[in-house]
Amino acid sequence: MAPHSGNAVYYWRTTWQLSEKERDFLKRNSVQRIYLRLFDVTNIYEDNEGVEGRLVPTPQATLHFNEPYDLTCEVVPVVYITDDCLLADSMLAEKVVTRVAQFCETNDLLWNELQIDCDWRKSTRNAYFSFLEKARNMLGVGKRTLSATIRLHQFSQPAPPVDYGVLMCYNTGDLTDKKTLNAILSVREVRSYSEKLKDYPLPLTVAYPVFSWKRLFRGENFVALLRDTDIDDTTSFSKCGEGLYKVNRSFSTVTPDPSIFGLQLFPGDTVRYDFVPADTVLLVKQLLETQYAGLHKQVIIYSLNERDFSKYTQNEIESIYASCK
Amino acid sequence: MRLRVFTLLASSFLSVSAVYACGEEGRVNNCYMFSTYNRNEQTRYIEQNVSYWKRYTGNRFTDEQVLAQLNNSGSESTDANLLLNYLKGKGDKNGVEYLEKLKAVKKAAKLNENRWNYPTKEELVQNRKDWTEIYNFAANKLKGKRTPLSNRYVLMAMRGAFYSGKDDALGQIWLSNVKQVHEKDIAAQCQGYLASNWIKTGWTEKARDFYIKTGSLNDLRATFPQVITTKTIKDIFDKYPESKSFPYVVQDFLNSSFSNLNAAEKNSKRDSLTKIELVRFVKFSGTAATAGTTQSALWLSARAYAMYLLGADKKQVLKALQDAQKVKSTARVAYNTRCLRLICSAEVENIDAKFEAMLTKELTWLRNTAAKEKCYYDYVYYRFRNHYTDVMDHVVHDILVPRYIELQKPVTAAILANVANELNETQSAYNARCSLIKRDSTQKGFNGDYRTDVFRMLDTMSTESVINYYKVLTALGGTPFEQSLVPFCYSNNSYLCDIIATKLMREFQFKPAMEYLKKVDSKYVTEMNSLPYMAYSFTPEFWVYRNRQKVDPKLQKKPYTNKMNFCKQMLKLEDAVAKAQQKQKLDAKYAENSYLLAKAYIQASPKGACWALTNYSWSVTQDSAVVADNAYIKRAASLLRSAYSADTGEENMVRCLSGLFFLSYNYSPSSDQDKLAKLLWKLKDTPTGEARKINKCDVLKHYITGNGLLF
Repeated sequence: MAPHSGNAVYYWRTTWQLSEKERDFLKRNSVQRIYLRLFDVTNIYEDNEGVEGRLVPTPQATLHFNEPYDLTCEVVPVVYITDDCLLADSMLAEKVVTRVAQFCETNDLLWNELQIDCDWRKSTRNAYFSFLEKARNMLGVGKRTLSATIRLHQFSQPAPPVDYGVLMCYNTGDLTDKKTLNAILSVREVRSYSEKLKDYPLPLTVAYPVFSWKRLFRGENFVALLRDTDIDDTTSFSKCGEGLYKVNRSFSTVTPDPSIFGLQLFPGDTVRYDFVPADTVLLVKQLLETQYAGLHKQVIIYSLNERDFSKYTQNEIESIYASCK
Repeated sequence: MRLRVFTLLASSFLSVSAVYACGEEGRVNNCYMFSTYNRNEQTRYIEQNVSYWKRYTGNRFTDEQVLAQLNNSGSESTDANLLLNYLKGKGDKNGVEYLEKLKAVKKAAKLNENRWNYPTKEELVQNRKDWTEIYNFAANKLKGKRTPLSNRYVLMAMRGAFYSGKDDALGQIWLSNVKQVHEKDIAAQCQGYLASNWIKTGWTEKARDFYIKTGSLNDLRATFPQVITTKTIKDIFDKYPESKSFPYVVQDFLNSSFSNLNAAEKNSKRDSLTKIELVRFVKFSGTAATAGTTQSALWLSARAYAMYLLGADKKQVLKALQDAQKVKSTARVAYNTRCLRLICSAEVENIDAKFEAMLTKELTWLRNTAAKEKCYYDYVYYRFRNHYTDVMDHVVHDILVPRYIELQKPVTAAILANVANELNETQSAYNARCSLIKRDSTQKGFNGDYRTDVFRMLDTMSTESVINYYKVLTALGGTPFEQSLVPFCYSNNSYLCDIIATKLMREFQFKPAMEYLKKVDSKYVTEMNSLPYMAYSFTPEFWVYRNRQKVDPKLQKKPYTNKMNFCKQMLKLEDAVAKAQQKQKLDAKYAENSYLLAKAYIQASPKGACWALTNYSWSVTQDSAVVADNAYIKRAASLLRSAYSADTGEENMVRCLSGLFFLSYNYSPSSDQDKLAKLLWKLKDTPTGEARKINKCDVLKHYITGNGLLF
């Protein structure tokens, strides 16, 4: 089955609430499809009243609607699954598909496709493929589409049994490694895999990053991703290299994890700011197009978030989407 | 919010200071020392609620039974309705009605309990109806006659309003009932439903009050700018001179300043900016202290600590702290000032009887204060701690221990370290010893007494000092100061006797060691982490790789007896060797005894198979420099040389040369290493050499060829 065409976005937050600028983004860029993350499935340690507990795959961070879904864009539900879950529950596919179906029904979402996002490896490949086969049967072959994200490193493996794949052109580097110059997108990294693209036995579409992040390091150790910290604040940070900032003074910030009493930044800590300029995305796009004609019939932007896309001009966004028009 | 700064302690007592410099990873020191706001001030809703219902039902139910009722833990649980049935039997209609409705609340809250079952539309509608019904019921109860359960109905009504989407009703319920909600935890939970709206509507200060009360530190921090400066604090003061956020915001500012000034990476620009900010703060806090607010003591305490951070004369700082102590304050602020005063005094005052009397008083107070305060679990250090345990750690390990060691008073230093360690260890997650403090964990496992600072001190101090330390703990000696701290020390006769015996064994004093070994309780030894390693025989030749270690089956049930066996055997052999030397009868028997001794010493050295006879696990992991200097290894080398010279028989020569080359190659290179290798290589084709497979020894072969020793 051929992938879709047109412009698309990922929505990867835990609450559904769009700002005016986000609504405007969808309209201005004629976005036809929203790949909507519904929930994650991760292993949770389940205590069994003093007896040795066990790890149980459990839905986490389920999307909550602060406002109803009132867009005309098609919705593609996406479920992110950590690969260790695949080995823990043979009924996982049934549970996931049932929950997705119930979620969509409760929230009045029409859906014709399910996408699975999983960073599977060789060691978990068989379990993952078996999971996908079961999911496909649950969806009814030919009735609802099943797609999956494809990470660059997964090119060296056989293709998963889905209708099409979304080539994830982001999170290409090891974000915990201080030496990784840009963990979001590295042209070099993409180039090293791009040749495998033309022989890949699965229809593909592609997703590009329109976001940035700040990685906090203490010494060589990765500490956390910073979200709202302002690295342009010169009393707290000074630039000490390309994308590299040194923390000047001690202060605490807010963390999304309530069990940690605020994240403390110390003098001497370093922050690596990863941002992918539109030029880089376009370079990667060109590179991939030469290897896989028609890859850009649909382009997905990751992700719909005013904080991120406001760092790009409308022209840049348009050029990222461009060739599919 | 804490920082560990590793410091090399200046000390003439090198062995101990070296241990301290390496530091125990589990010890938390140099944490932030200014604490006027307890970061761990979390309201204990569950505990308080359980305690309320226990009282309500005449203390006849256990915590678990109360919890089963309150949590509506399913009909299969026999405890699920104990309270309800009791109240029914007693005819307490109000109580029964409340608990019945609470079951409905719990049921409604369980909508999404099985996370795989995403609710249907119908379930959501029903759930909203249920919450509405709960709200209506509770709101009606509030219209009627007040009962002891009214405040719980306020909370129930607010919950109902919150989950049924009646945002407007939330404020109304609270405003009309605030006066009757006397229980703090209930009030806090009620306000929690309101707080998120307060910030939206600009009532930041009110939200801060709430977050302070509930210990919601993340939410509280979010109401302040990224970097807190004197100006931030002054702006709040100008607007709200009695802001309840000052204990928090001042603490954040001062501890961050401490962190700036003590960063591992020095930065003079940052230091000078921090100092400028601190100078501004000293000036501002002086003004704030005289502004007539109820928080003068906080400002004075903070001012004194800012002066301390600026490096002001300690006497001036002490004076400023004394001034702060004269002003009425909250207990937390008063404790903070007292801790700072202790830190400052410990740093500067002369060590004499007066000083030690003060220390006794203050350390006792600190220890008791730490014991009273709820601890929190530190995931980094795997232990329970609070601000006062941190202060104890800092005062003892960073200030007093180095000072006493410098004064050549290692026993006092060890007693002080014991007090601090005991406070920590009895709150550790992994110490199953009977606790001085009610602990949060009763996990058994690794015996933490063999990883503490005080243990490492004892293991590296002179044996005489450890015996003196033992006397202090058994009330047979010590200064009045040392004796005053004994009640807070860990004292275990078997533990100490084993340490002393082990040290004596290392010093070849086997007879006195045996006396101490006799005092070690056989039950206690099962708690020693290194016990299993004592079951290894000390007779195999350690330099013969294929059978260098062997568990002695006779020892498997009682491995500790091997210590005594070892002492007896060494005494006997050393005696025989000494007598032979006296008589100058250096014959084959002498060689045999010397060889047996050498084998046993290597096996019982830090590198041997039964290292646990004379070592503890931490010391055998030390680097090779420690091993090279090890008395057992040196003695073994010397015995092997004597044995080699005493018997020129081929068997004896091969085994002694094997041992000598092994020691020289691995641990302490000798000047005649080449010679030893050559001699051994020459013997490779002899019957003994062949039996011992000398020509197959890769190490020797490599050494011979690598150094061009072939001839």
